[in-house]
Amino acid sequence: MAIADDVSFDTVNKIVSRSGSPSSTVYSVNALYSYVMDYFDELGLMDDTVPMSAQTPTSYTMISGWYIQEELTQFLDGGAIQTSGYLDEIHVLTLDGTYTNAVAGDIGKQVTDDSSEIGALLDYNNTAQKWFIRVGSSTVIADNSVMAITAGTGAGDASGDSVTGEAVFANPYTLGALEGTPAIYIYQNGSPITSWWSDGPFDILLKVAEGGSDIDSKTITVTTRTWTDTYSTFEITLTTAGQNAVPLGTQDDLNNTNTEADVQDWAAANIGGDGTTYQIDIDFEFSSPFQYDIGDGNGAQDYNVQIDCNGQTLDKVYEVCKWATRDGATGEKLETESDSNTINGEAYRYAKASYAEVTASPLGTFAGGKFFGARGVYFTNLHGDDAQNFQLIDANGVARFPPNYQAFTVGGVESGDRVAVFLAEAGAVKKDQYSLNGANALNTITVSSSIPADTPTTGTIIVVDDDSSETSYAYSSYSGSDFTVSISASVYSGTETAYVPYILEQASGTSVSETTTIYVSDRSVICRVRKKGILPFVTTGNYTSTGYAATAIRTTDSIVT
Amino acid sequence: MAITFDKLTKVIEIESPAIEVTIQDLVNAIRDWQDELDNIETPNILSAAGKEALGGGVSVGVTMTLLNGWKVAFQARAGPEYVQCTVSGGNLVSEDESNPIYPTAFTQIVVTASSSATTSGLFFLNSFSISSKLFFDM
Repeated sequence: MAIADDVSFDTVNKIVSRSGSPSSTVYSVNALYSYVMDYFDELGLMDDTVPMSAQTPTSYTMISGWYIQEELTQFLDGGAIQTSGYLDEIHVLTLDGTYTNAVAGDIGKQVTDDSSEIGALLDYNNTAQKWFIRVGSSTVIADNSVMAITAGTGAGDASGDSVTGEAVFANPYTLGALEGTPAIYIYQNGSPITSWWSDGPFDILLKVAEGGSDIDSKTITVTTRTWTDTYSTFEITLTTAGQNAVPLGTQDDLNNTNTEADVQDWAAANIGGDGTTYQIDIDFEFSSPFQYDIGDGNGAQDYNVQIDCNGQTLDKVYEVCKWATRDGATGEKLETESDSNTINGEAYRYAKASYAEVTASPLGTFAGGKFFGARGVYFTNLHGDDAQNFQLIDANGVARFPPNYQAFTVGGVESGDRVAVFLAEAGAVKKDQYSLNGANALNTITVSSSIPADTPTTGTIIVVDDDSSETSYAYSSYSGSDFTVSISASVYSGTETAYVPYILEQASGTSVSETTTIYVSDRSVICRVRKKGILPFVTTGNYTSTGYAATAIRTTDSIVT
Repeated sequence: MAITFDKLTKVIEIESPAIEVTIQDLVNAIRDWQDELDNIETPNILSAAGKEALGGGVSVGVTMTLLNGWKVAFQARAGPEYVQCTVSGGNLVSEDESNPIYPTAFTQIVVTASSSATTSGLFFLNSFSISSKLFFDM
């Protein structure tokens, strides 16, 4: 069908609309304009005003008081339309009370305000209960006016005064690589817009101003969140004229492969899940943020979003996070900005607008077996295997990394072997690892520097006295610069040195490990394994971000008896 | 016979009244001492070689090499008589080729040494060995 079959003009009421039985063809605004120009150049219409003007190939204006019905704008693309002449001419009225839907036959009929005819009905939106009336003056229709249509159907009461002013139909269009043909949805002023566009990339006209006022400053949020794909969201403030590109990009999400139904079973009821398999949950706190110490030595930090992993691995948690924010996640189960400010999961973008948005998955992404939490997100009840499989950004925007627990391990030993790993310097045991700090207090040995996190939580501190004699003390804990030992006060004056083996124990199996140590920086170490009956074994190496492992070579001592 | 170790002076001392120690005794004592957790921080004290079988129940004698400056001493005596003490049963040398014996008061140390020591028939072999006394009166 040609555009002439799909667009009609009401020269009496100055309405451009879809024809009675239109096709679903979408025309460019330029095509509409061209048709308008062609239609109104006929001799029989020379007494009518021209409805449209063009400023650029993608910017057009409804002029001379002509009204374009909103339904028609849903079948246009490729340009924006603004109006010039709506002010003090066309009024927008929202109705309430016992609302009776207007019908197509009401168009052009007189609207009555408390039984007085005030102008023709140009358009209506029964969902929003809005009428568009050609009043032809600045006189508003007062709140609570009883509205009806002469010899028509629609009726209701005015909900507030009518407004008059220009309208803007902006023209957003998407670009970028999308996985498949995803559904793309728009939130405007906090509410979803019922889509009339097809799945996949779109090019649409969207009303961003009405009655002379911008709708949410002409800002919209365009989102696509298709299950098993990465998500994409773009917030844009649309312009009055021309086109507005909305960049979106999605791809197959290799970490999101379970079915929605399965993942729904993993999610707690609090976020809309069934919770029948697991109870992975999400909670929010803004006025009194959650406090969480990741163990990086910087103490507890603020977080706004707490994800209870329910002891499940982070790959499952990630899918629940995606499920909670997927297209179709409604019911206002998530919160943003402030306590109890609930929104639909499909509209959730961040804990706070000031936080950097993670569009691919708004609660955090998952890659290489590691969950990268969005700002303000942290985890509780992690699976045991995930102690280091995540990275956070606290509410203050500081990246937080879980402590890098890295073990010292010596293998190839037998039960009874004596095993030691010491900090080394120039291939020898570094016995001045610490300097003592003043006379020791009762049951405390204080060193002059902070004890690094790669120190075993319990172990042995060996004090080297001024005469180089050494005394070992088992410590039960340490904090700051203090080792807790069993010692009388003032045994040492503070001139002594001390060192702490990473391993100093007798093997009870085939290997010896120290797993409480947190990697701080590379350390040169020396490892010794001794047992009468084998030749003393010694090797040097480095403790790195992946730990330290040595394998002893047990060579029988053929001499000793 | 008690053998003690002094980490500070790096002296292995055979306590009085013992007047003789074998290389085997020393090896055993050293290995036993240095495998203790309290001593594992100490660098290795000795290496030892020998005991390879030569056939007929005879084997190569043990050569014990003291490492890292360690030396062997017999506990000092009160004097004024000198007490002759013996290190037997193999060769005792130092890694740095210095004298492996640490001198003590009123002791006179005899170290048996041989370029072809065997462990079988030790007394017999001793009679063929080159003897040396401390203070280098060989």
